[in-house]
Amino acid sequence: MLLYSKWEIGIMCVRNRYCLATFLIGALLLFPTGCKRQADGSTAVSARSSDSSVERHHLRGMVVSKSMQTNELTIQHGVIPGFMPAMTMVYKAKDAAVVQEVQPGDQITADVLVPSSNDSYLLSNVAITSKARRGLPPALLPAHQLLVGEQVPDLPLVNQDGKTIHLENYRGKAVLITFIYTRCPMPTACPLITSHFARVNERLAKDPKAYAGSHLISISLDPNYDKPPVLRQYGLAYLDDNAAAFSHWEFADTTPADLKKLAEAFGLEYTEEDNQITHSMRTTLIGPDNKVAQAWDGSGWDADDVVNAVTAAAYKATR
Amino acid sequence: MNWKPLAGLLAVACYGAFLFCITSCTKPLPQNEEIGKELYDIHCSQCHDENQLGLKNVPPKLHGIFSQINLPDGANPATDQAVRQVIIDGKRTMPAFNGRLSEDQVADLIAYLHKK
Repeated sequence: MLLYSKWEIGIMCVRNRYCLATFLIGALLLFPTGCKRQADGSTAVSARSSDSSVERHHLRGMVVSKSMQTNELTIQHGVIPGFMPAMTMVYKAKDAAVVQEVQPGDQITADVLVPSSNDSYLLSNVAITSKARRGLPPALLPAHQLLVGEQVPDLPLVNQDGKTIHLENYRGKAVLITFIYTRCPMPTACPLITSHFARVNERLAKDPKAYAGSHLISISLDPNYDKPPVLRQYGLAYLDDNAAAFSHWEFADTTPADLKKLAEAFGLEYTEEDNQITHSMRTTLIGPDNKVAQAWDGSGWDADDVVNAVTAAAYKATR
Repeated sequence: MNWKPLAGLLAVACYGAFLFCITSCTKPLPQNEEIGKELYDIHCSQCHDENQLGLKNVPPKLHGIFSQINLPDGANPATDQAVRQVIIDGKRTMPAFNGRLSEDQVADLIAYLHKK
């Protein structure tokens, strides 16, 4: 217990410069370093940044999903005046503890820091303003691209033999999934992606444990044309007419409505016009836990890199 | 009789005939083969000409395709109809151009392939 208040001590110390110096240092050490509660009653999740040189904006929105592996948050937010329209977007959290704390459904405010380089936008000064809808089930969350660690949706597909399959059927294995269509005329798009998959499939076959613990699925972006017989012929061409290999690598389609959901979940954008489908390319590895593990954009990825990633996941297969 | 105006008229007529011959006597490429070449360059050359794409099944070269008895697959005769079918329906790893090329465009492409 102090006999004098710190201010009384301060006044006495002014007369003694050594004491004054000691007092000032002590006062600085005793002074609180951050606010525990914001003026609006929300709970601050991260310390206030003092970097005033970075372009900074403010958002208000809802946490849709999070990835503790990549420190990312998907936020559905309103208009950021002069910067961004209302949208659902992935941000990198400046503070890893933020990702730990927030839950899907939390309403938040945050600062968006725009780096001068081409790096991701950062979220800072995240404050949870409402936890009322905390922990919303995936079905009630807005459609969004899955982050690493998120559970994949269980939507039905129809394979090249006309059989209905579910991604859930392959829980326990590493599943490599991509999107193509058989009429794709761009050699650097679907033909190259499927050629890569053929190489991945062949190389996995050389490692019995990796082969047994993995599965490949090519999903068509053109379900109106790519019916099972078409997919079967397409698949056989890449499997050297070995139909038995369909047990490891399937070619499937789904309804246009479910395709839209799958494409959203796996980060595919596509549009159809004049019988041609313009689309992005993204290949996703789903772990044995049925959660997104890794993804590769485009068609320029190295088959060996993907084989290594699939093998590592397949070695953790539980079936 | 003053022959000078008549000589001048004859000279003009001869020059006109010369110009007409220059423009119509040399044969331009048939329009369908020219269109066919453009279509080939846009839709076919990236796969069927030399490339470093690393595709699973290397697409065959189409030079002289109609000079052979059979198509590169060895199973079908090298006829216009067989080539048309491959273009429309695709074949193995080759995509189908069904709905993407009109019948006229397919015919122009085949006309060009006859000359390739």
